[in-house]
Amino acid sequence: MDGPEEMDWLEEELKRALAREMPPRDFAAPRRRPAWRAWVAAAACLAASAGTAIGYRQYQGREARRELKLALDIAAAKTSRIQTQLREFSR
Amino acid sequence: MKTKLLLAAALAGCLSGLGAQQFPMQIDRLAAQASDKIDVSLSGSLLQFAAKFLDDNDPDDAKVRKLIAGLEGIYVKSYSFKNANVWTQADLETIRRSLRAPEWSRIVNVTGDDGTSEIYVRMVEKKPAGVAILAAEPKELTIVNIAGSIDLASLSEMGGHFNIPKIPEKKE
Repeated sequence: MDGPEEMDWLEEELKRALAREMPPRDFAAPRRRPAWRAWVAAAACLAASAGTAIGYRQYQGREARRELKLALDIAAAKTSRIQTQLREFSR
Repeated sequence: MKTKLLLAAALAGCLSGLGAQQFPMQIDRLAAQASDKIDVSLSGSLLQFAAKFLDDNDPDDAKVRKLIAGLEGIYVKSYSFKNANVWTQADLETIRRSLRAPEWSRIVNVTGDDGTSEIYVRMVEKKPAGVAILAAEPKELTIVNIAGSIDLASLSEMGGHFNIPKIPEKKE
């Protein structure tokens, strides 16, 4: 099965696969991409950044609102408690 | 020259640490021992920013907007402890030392079996410029500073309206 004929065939295949090939003539030439592609990419980046910034600002706002309500809730609970205690003392 | 710069930097550091709070509220010893801590620090600009996200169609939000109009900051530090008697009178004295005349006046002082509650008002040029609340319960110590003028009666009416998880109040 793995006789000399088989080896020759494999060798030939390897030689063909690894054979040196000349690159095409325009291989090293600078490739020009259409300008609109760059603009579209820049606009997409800008839109993504703006979207992220707006989203983060919304998140910060919601957090600030939550903290404000938490602070007022604690302050209100303490004030209310003091009022109750005062009422009890005055009875 | 170098020493002066270092001193200036240290002073600036101390002032920035105080922030816009009207008195130092931090008790490091208790903060280290607390099982649960709430630390809210909202300066005037943050209050205005938060107000932009209040919904005027929501009655609670509308009340909040009315209440915070003219405030310069709200600062809350609340420590909960697993065991009772973690805070001491010396800890309360640390806070009280900053709340002295002529700027501050204690208007309420309630002391009972379940702790001490005090309300202080800060007057500047005969106008109310701040409120401090010191509430010390067996397993909890809360310090509040509201900078600016606030209607305490309106604040008291808001208690528990927002359904925000908080340190549970002891039921009477």
